[in-house]
Amino acid sequence: MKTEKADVPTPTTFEPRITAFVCNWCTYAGADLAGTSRLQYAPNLRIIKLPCTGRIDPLFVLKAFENGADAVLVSGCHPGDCHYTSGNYHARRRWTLFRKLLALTGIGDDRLFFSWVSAAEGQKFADLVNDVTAKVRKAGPFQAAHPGRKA
Amino acid sequence: MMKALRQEAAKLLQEKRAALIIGFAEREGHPALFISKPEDCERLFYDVSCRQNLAAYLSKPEVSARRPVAIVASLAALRSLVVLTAESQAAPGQVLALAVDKDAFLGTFDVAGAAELLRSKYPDLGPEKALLERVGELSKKSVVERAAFWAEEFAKCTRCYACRAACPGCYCARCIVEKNAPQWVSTAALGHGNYSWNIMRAFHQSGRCTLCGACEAACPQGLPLMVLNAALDREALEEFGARPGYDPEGKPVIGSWSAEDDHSYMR
Amino acid sequence: MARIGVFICHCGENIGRTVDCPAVSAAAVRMPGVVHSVDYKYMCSDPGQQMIKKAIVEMKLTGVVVAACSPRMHERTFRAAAAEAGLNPFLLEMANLREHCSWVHADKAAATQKAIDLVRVMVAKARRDRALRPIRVPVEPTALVVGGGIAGIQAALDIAAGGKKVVLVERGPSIGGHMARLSETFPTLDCSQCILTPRMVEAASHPNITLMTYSEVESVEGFVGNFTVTVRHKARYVDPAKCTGCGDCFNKCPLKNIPNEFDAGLGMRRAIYVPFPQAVPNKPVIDAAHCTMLQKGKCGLCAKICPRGAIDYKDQDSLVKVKVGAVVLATGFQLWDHAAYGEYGGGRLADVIDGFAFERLASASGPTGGLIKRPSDGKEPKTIVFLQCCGSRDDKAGKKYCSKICCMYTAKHAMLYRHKVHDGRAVVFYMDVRAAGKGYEEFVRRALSDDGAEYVRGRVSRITRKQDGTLVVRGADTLAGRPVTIEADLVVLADAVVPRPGSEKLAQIFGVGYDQDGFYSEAHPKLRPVETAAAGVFLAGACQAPKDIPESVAQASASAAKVLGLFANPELEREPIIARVNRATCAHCRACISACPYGAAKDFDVLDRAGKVLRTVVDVNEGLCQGCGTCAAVCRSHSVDLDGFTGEQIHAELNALL
Repeated sequence: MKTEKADVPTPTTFEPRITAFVCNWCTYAGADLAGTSRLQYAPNLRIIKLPCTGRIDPLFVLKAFENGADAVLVSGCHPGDCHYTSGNYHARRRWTLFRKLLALTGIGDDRLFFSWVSAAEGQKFADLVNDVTAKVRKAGPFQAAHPGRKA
Repeated sequence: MMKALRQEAAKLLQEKRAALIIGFAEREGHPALFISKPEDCERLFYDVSCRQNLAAYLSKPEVSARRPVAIVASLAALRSLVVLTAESQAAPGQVLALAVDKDAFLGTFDVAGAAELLRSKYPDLGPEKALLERVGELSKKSVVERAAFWAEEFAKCTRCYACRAACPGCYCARCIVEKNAPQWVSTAALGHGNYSWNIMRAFHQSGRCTLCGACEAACPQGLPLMVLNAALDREALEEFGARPGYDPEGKPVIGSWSAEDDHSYMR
Repeated sequence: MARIGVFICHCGENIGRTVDCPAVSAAAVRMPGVVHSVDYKYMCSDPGQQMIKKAIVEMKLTGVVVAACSPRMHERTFRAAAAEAGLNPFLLEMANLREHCSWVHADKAAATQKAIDLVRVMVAKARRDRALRPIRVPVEPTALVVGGGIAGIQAALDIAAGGKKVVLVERGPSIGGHMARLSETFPTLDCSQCILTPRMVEAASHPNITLMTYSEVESVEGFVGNFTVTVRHKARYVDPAKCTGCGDCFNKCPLKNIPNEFDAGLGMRRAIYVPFPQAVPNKPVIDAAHCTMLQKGKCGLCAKICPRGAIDYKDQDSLVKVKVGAVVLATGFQLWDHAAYGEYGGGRLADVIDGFAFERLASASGPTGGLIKRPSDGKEPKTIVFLQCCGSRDDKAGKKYCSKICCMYTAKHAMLYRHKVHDGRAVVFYMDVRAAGKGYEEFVRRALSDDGAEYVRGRVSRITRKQDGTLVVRGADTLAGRPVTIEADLVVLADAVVPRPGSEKLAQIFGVGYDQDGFYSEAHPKLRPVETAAAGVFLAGACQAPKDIPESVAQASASAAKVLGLFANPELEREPIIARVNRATCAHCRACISACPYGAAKDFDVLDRAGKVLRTVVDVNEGLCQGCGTCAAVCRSHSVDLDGFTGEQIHAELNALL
């Protein structure tokens, strides 16, 4: 007797591609700590290291989406902890306005994530990557119809 | 009103307080008029259909070479003048404004006077109600619907950059879209290049836009650029108390910070 | 053409277990620009490093990517190896296959794919790396110390003892600071002036120390190793070169009733005065705001009496520029103004005084000669109520923080009072007694057991004055759970410790951060407690946070050690990760100037050959720039770029990723 299983099409597994822009002093070091603590997390994230979140031009985020990222994560030092005293404060202002603009034009908060992860927060980093990956997996591929993506 | 404007402009030229007056012509479309002789001031015109923001000329080398300059300035153009001063694009003492509002001539002001006028008489300039309603309607739609809306709108963009030319805030010697090593914004008038261009144009004006509407008026394709500008204006006001164009010594919204800035969206 | 070599490390089993290193190597060699790729068990070992050096020479590599552990672990190691092989160290990049990949993923296929991606990103970056040279700046081996209290004096003496020159700037007419005002010091009760004045004299006479009293820092230019500081010498109206400090002038000055700040207003001084007899320099100044000659052009008595002709009514402020390589800020503290507490009399009750006033009453050299007399009528108080936490630990009307020194000095005050007035009653209202310090707890215990101080746990809600001058102190004893009312002759408030006025302005001058209360921010709260975010500017004493004398002295010596360390080499070497401006495209909107946390972005005039200003753009000072890149991100036209993290590199990395 034939089982029904063979008739069910195998669902194509969607593996989200997530680009992360992180600062060298806090989040990059936090990711290092996740490693030295051997915390396991989803392999979908790729880090671009910068000295400071203050260095991140919104164009970097647009480029990542344009190139096919399903989500973007920006992460740096907690307020008050910036290695450069205020780079993260400048970044925060920029993101407050930029995320509003992206949300209005069809890139919502299931695609664009922001966090503070300190050098001591290895666990937070691992949890963050897992959570972001799960959310993007649920949201599905960044719609090809979005004007911000390369055809 | 027109009489007062013309007389004042002629007086500025006669008294050599201005070497050049930039105003509007009466003929169709009300193009900019450049006047250096008092007798030509009779050709000056103004009504609400004059949509250009003449402050956009102030950073042009042809104009700055002929200072002192006076421009016919609507309230939004007055704000632009203040923004340009804060961004060291308009030399204080070299620029005067012949201020107009709807059908009234308000007088001649230097930058400090313009800022004082705005603060005392028009402290709360912002997007028009109908525009805010459009922003509100769009915000109510789903993310997918919003993407579809803008996909359709941005697809019309031919990348003529008329919006940029009309904007007093767009004075970069070399616009980012013209930088090709690396090319962050694709110049092809296609989906993603059009998206990046229009997003960055709006973003680069955030905290600086005076909502004059010249960009949208200049767009031959009718893109609703003011929806983006108005949304960012409200966000900058709510989040940072930003009112661009009121303080000639004000710090840029992007380029300053406060420890109290909201970050509830940061995880 | 780029010739990149890729070196993939197995890290024993650490990477090799989850990442297929030969597969990564095989993928790497096909990446654009890569001419050589190899995997090896331990890249950081000597044979591993030799492998890299050999390849650099033999394969004529123009760039290297080492795919191994975190760059935080071994980037220095590999860059040093590259430099030994003749490759500029900044042409070497690391891909983090261990901490960011093999240690956090179990799935070998996914981990290997991620490893290939990470290598591809770093290859794309390395292809666009430029050779960078460490920035060397000469160091001017002279230190500026701002503030002549015990912290500033100690820092100056230690730096001077290390053989370097010091300029010690003090705002007041004499060095000595608050410590000179104290009667005795806890927990040993040794006389404050007896231990301080020898150091003041030593500072004044040390050949390496230049004293600038009655002076303030006006402005600063430059950067670590090369500051030019403009100091304002305020007009003294007395030529210190001629004055011998004989004192004839201030004994004859007819204005006798100016409250002396040094005595917390309890003693009087003249219009020409030295603040206290042991002042250093012991030369008077004229208080221009009070002097009749300077105000009305009448009198001139001091000039007539001075045997040396040292008085000069025409004296004016002068500006002096000093070149220094490092700065120690030791501007100290003052007491919070309890006028904000209306319930304690709002500062209007003469017999409600602050801690410094009590110090002056208790001091043998004070206005009462060390006799405890209350200000209103000079009567000896038989009951004194001491209130702790006046303004401290109160985030509504006062300050959120604990002022740290008040528990100790209040215990000392109670003790000193009981030593002087044996039948007196000392009542202390406290919230908690915080006596952590060597011998501190024992000291407080002594105040209680040997000297009979009465400690009441609770707050005082109100102080009122009766007709006869008695003060009625109403409060709560929270341990007994009942209200208490005490009739007192004198109340001493332990006012919160706050920064000196003008400390925020000084912080801005030096580019030092400060917290919401105005205390200066250290570079790291744990590991860099004496440095600030401004390179070459260090902190000592209570300008950073409330501190007692031993802590201030310890920090002063620590900052002196930092200064001497900085001065140990004639040149400073800095990582060359700095911002650069494209002057051709800069529109001079000044957003970067506003954004730069270090004041490194400055206006720059482009001149023609005749020296005429053609236009103004922005320039970045290499010495000040720390390489955060915030300027680059706010530049709309990308006219500012950051070496080591250029727009071109990030663009290439993003393209390599997806």
